[in-house]
Amino acid sequence: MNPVEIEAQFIAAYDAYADAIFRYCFYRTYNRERAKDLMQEAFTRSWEYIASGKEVKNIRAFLYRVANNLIIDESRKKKMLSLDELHEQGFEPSYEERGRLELLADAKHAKELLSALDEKQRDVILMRYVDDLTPKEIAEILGESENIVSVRLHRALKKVKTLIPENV
Amino acid sequence: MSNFFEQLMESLKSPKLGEEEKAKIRGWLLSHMKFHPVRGVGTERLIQQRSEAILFNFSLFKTMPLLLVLTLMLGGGVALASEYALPGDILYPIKIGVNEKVLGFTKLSDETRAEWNIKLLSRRLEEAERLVVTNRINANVEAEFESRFNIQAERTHKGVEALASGKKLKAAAEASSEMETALRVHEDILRSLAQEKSSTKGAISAAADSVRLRLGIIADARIKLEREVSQRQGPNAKTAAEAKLAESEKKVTQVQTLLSQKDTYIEANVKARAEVQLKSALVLLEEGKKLLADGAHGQAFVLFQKAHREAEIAKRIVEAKKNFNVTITADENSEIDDDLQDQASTAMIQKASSSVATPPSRQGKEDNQNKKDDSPKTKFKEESKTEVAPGRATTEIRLDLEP
Repeated sequence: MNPVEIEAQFIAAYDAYADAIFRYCFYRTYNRERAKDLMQEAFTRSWEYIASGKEVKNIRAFLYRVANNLIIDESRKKKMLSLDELHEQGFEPSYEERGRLELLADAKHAKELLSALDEKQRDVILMRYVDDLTPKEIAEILGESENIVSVRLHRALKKVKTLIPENV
Repeated sequence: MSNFFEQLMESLKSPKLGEEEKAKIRGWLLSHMKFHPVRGVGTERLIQQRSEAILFNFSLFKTMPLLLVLTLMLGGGVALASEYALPGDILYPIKIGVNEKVLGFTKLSDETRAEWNIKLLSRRLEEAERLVVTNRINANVEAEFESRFNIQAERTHKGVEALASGKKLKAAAEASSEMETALRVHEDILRSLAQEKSSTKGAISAAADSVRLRLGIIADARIKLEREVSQRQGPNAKTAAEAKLAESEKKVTQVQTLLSQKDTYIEANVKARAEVQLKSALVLLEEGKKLLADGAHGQAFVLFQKAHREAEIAKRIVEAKKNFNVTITADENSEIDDDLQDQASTAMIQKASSSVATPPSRQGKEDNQNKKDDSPKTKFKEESKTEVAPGRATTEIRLDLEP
């Protein structure tokens, strides 16, 4: 592939995955500006890797992995946020979705769901059901086996099931 | 459970970047990619290992003939590597002392030499911009830039004068027009970069001031030359006008294609600015055609030339955003306060080298007799503040935009 094609492919990857990588960073930092910086850094470092002549087979998984490494490098802030706090940070469900949330249960359930899970479980739930990554891709990103990821997902879902009210 | 769970997961997809945020980062990323191109695919840098190599004006596709000549004459590796060198790099003396000199020898006519001088002037300005973007600009570097830039600007201007005194009026008018456009665009880029780089704003603004001074001189020259050309009629004048029309229409088409490409993202405000310029170019072309039909060949030529400038600026607006993530206007209709121009000129003369022999003139005003300009007039209200740093006088210009 010539340099022009490589560049074009990378920018296409940015257009396709920028939001997803931003979201991935947001849910691990709960800081919108920091998430934006980390997203930009993830793409920058990914480009530098590619520009050095190394091949990347799955750019999507690679971007997540770079973002994940960047987040690990940051000092972790284990912060449980209410939806109000998330709202302040820029998380604003749409009016349509807010209606659904209100109908379903209110913010309390979202908070409980996320906060009841441990960090690793929360990561796989978000990656699987918000980022739409496959267990194989999740395993590649986290550097773990697909089997472990599947087991973790299963356990996380089981826990979620216990938290959701019976009448919804 | 699954319905509730799905809805909750769906709501967690809300955090998103705004369109403008996304576009801004994209622009930055594109710029970064140009400065850090893919290595190991025929563009090895043998000696110079810095990663600030620029390809946006030196893409392999565009410069292949240039590289071929250099490879044959000098031996490929060093010549190739030095093309990306910046002031301060080990290979920079080879770039300007060997590469450019060798290529200069191949320019035999006054016209091709004038064109080459304008290209060299653009190279000096692009180097300055690359130095700014890679955070290598400071007062010393700026002073060196100014010296090289002034020498090249003087050489280019003398080339235009040589064409004019050799009765090659059309070529002189074209060369002055091209030089003016290049200076206008680069000044705007430097001023935009100065706004973003607060720590080196003084050095960048000083560089932009140098460009502004030269811009005033060449704009004056261009207006005078066009005034002479506009009075011409006859078969030669008609041929010249028709050739200019063809060239300008080709430029406009090129830019229209650039703006309509589906696989290239151009920010809405950048596209809008470029389209304003293009619209102005199209209006000028139509007016020029009427004059051509009426036999006013000289005047038609002048309008076609202005249309060419407008279209070129439209293209540069898009390129400036892509390469530097800055939004420029490079508006030819901006007016500069005479006092301010004189202040800048005085400051320049006080510290200029002996190569700057020509006293600066005021920036001339456009001859609007035959022009109907639909493009929005942008007036710059300027304040000047003169700061005296040890050893040199500088003038900082702040621009406030009035719609």
